[in-house]
Amino acid sequence: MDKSTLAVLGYGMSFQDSEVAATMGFEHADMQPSVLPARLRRRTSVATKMAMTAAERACVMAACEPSELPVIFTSALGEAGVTDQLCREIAKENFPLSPTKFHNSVHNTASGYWSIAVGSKHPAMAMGGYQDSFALGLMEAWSQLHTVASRVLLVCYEETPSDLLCQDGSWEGCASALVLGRGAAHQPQLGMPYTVPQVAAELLTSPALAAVPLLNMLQQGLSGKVQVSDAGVQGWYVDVLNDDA
Amino acid sequence: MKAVNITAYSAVTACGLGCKRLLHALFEQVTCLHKPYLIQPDFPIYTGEIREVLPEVQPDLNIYNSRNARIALAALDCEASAFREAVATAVQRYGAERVGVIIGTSTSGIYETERSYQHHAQHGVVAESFDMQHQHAWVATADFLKHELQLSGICYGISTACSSSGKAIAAGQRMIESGLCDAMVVGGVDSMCHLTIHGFHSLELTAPTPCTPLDQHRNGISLGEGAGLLLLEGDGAEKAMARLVGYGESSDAHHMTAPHPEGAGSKQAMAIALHRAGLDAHTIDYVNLHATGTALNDQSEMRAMAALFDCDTRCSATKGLTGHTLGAAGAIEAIIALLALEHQFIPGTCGLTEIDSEFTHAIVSEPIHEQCIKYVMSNNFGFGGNNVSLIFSTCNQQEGSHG
Repeated sequence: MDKSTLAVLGYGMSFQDSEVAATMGFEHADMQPSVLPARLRRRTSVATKMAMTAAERACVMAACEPSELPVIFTSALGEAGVTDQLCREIAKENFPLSPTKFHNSVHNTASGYWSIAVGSKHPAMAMGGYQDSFALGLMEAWSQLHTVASRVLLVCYEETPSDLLCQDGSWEGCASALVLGRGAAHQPQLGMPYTVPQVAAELLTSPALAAVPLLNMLQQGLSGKVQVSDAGVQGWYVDVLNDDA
Repeated sequence: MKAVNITAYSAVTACGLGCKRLLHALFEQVTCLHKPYLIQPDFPIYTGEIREVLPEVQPDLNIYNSRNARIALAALDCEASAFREAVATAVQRYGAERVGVIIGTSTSGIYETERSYQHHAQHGVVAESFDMQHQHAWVATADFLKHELQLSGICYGISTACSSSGKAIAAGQRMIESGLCDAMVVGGVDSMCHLTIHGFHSLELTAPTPCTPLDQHRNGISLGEGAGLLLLEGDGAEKAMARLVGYGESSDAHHMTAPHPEGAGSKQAMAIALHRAGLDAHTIDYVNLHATGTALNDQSEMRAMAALFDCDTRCSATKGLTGHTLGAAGAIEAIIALLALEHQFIPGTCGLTEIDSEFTHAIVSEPIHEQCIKYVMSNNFGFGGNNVSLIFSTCNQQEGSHG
């Protein structure tokens, strides 16, 4: 493999609404976080459940043991729903807050429950880059794979935020996951993400949907340049190299 | 691991604006925790609030205006804008597109979100000044600094609770080693808010008195706020103050809020940091502990210390001075470790009167001045069992280069 590319070992998607999934070319992309024990499934958010589902699908496709992968979870807002509920309680001065909601509002809730559910002692990153969250997650994966890691699980997710938080249109809840590696032959390859200046636009859709065109290309075994961010003053792109194409 | 140079750092804490004020507080060892002013809950707590007037965000960046952004701005502007000037020099040397920014935070600008929700509860509409993307989103403070410093390299936010900014420093090293940037502004910024004050209280983790980490009678945390910023540079650096020679990260895979009882994850993070630095545990001259002042955190961390280090490895906790600054703690405590290197002293443990009888380590209670400090470690552990450990050295040390 070319040292300057990343190998895609597996990928997966999960949508809050499976009808939306179908319009984007994904079947069987509903929310089924079987990795979570039932008692945790009841107390975790849509964001966490979507992220877990996509992550699990990517690991299955990559035939990877989930506990062996460092993880990068990237999301503009993370636990937007739990945060909304807590801010409403705070506005009403309805104290004490729920301790469970409080610890489930941290940005590393999804990555934390993932590491507990699969028993992973590997590092867990929880990051965000607003409209560029997915592209910057790819850059973080790139830096890890060129320094300390041989494989990583990258998960990009976003649930639909309340209109008190976000008035810029409704964001479709969606999660994508990629198992990325170095040194694997016969796998689709990703070049280093790069930026191209563009006319800045308002972000109207979920930042997590920025992963959809890339995953569509992987599904179809295509090669070429694909945008991996939306809006912003610069667009992020990645070149996909598929031997089969 | 490829060591990276630290060419500037700046800290804003309850001890004051700038590293000189922090250093003074470390030497004098007088707590900067007081009864709360900004947010006054109906239960007793002490907090490490910044009482100085914070600078105002310039009008063309007003969409970013939040307490978090103003605290970050104070870290750029304090001490004659020394940090801002160091970054400007790096931009001249490498080009703006080769300088990135990664900021850890646990709160981002949620203080403004809370106010917007209060406004909505009273008036039926969100506050006009509220800007979710530029105040509340996880990248907001990093994005603000990117514009303030006119950088165009990689920019993102990290939020892994109390390990956030320790991980931002590690991520900055990776960006330089992998060649994606030549210099990185890294660190953490956190600000007081109802969510953390009432949230930690709901978990019964806040102390009614100033926190006393490592003490037999410790009874919880005191929240703080602040910013810690570091400038990392690769081989192109002209003059370095210190070097980051190792980092380790791990997950407990145990519990969302409770640390592993034996500190397995913390031990793993410290061991990986030592391995990457090519150092044996006995070469570490000082460990700045995470030591929040809760019964379980301090016990877990000291058990990890006992498993890895000899009893004479000196360590201390500094949250009795600054409070627990959560997402900024990793960067602020990294800077305390760097001040220990630069000024050749071991910080004490403010508030400590009776060391927990289980802890057999060389816990330093009063600051010690001496002349042979070469390697220092800083630990931070967060919710989700998220652990990070960093090792810094003076500039003239030669380490191995494992991993």
